[in-house]
Amino acid sequence: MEAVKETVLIVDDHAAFRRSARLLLEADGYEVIGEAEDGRSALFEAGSLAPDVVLLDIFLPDLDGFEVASALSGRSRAVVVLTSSRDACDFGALVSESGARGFIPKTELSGASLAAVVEQ
Amino acid sequence: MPEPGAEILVVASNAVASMVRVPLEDVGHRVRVVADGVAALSALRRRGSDVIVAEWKLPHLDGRGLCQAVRADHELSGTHVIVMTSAARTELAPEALEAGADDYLATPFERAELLARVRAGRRTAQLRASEARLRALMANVPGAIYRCAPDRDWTMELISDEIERISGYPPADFIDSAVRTFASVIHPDDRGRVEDAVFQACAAGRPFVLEYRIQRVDGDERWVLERGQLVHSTNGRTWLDGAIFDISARRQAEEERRRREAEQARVAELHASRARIIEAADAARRRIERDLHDGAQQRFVTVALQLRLLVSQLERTAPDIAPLAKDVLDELRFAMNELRELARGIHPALLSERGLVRAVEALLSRMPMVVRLREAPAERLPEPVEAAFYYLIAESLTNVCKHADANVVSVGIGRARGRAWVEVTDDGVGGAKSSEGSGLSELGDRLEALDGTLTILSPPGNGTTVRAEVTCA
Repeated sequence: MEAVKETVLIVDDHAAFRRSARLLLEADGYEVIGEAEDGRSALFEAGSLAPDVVLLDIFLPDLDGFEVASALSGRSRAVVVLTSSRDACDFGALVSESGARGFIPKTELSGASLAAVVEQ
Repeated sequence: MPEPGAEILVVASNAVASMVRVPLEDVGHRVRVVADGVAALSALRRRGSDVIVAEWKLPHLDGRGLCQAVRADHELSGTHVIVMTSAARTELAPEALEAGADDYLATPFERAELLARVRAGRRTAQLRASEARLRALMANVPGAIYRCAPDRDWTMELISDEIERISGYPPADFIDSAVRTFASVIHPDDRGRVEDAVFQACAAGRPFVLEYRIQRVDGDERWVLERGQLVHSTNGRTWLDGAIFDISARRQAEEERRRREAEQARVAELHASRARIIEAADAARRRIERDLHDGAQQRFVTVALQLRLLVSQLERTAPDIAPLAKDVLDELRFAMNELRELARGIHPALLSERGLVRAVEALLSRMPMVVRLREAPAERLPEPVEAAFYYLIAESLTNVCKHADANVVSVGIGRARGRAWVEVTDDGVGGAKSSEGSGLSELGDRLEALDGTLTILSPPGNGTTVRAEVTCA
């Protein structure tokens, strides 16, 4: 890890996941600078907080993660990493087409797995 | 205005004949003369007469024989017969009337009396002729013409023969209610209604039209249409005049049509309800998958992340316990994988979120072999069609994996000219049957609910093609 921590925005409609993910990533050396619970606030927060990484759940109440990822890829420098309690193979080619850097199953989330995807 | 002359046949000896002939011809009647009863009958059969004026005593066939023969002959029976007897033998008159004569005249007679009797006779003959014409017409009407009293029995004054074809009872049964009343053959359930309708129409001075059932002599029911109205005859009596038509065939056709329509409606409802049941089941599957995902899976995810935190802390603070916590985390991962598989089997989330093509692409990426998607529509299909096609593809590919031993497998989905179709093709061992396994037969039900068809081509050794088609506006 560099001396300057990478900043993360967590987007998920489940508060319990956001809380656990925040603890986990902070324990592994990331700085979680914001949370959003749906697609629209994710776009807003990404714009105002300018995080290094957006950890983005796929099924959100309004827009889905793929739509948010394509919207962000044009106007944010943030690396988008999709996540879901479902498996990558549930989504076929959608992950690679969305503009996201990659996909992490929620159960596999850790600082290391996030760093591995970001650095791809 | 003088009437045109009548046709008169005089049957008499010469002496009497001339006494009759001259006055009649003088007033314009056409008169034929014959001398005996036999000649009279053959003359009448050549050409009918309005009036016969015959002596009682005749050679060969006398007045009695002549009267009886005329009355018995259907063609001649309307002829008016006047019998002449001598004034000394007036006791013969009743005998003549008994034999069928209409009138008698005692000789010698006054010219005026002869002319008056003939004129009256001619009127009677004309009346009889027109009555006969009326009866002939009535016999040819395809309905029973009637005149009855406006009473509760419908006591018949006259009713035509057609009533026998309709009811099985001869018309004479009903005349004066001699054997049975007409009301007695009306179906008991309809009697009150008929009575009310007729009396109401009569009270309002309107004609009536009604349909009701008649119970035939053989116990069968017939539907009849009756039209009638109240008429006031010149003698001050009131009658119901009308006609009764057998409409059983029409009613039966209507009944048949109603039954057919009800049957069609029932079939359509069954069809619709089957579609609704399948849609409801699909909605339930979507909901269960969603609930699993939002509920149990999310909790497991949180627990897994917290466990991961715990493991990394334990590794630092209590390295002897850490492996145990790691095992718990692994076990939880297995459980979550199983749960995910289960949820996916219940309903693929991508199908409702992103449609058939995306869901099929994801499905193909999970297959243990390469399956090519060779054709796919750009737009989404109706939801029930997408569900049916998805399950068909999934089931077919499962079968391919299990049984086909195939090298090349492809899936095609298309939409053209109001039809949507899906096709799964492999180059495997073939010989698949649709009856094998409940998977494809359940899909057959789904497709039927969408007015679709399922075709399985699977010649042994020559691969398998499963194709479904549905109407899709």
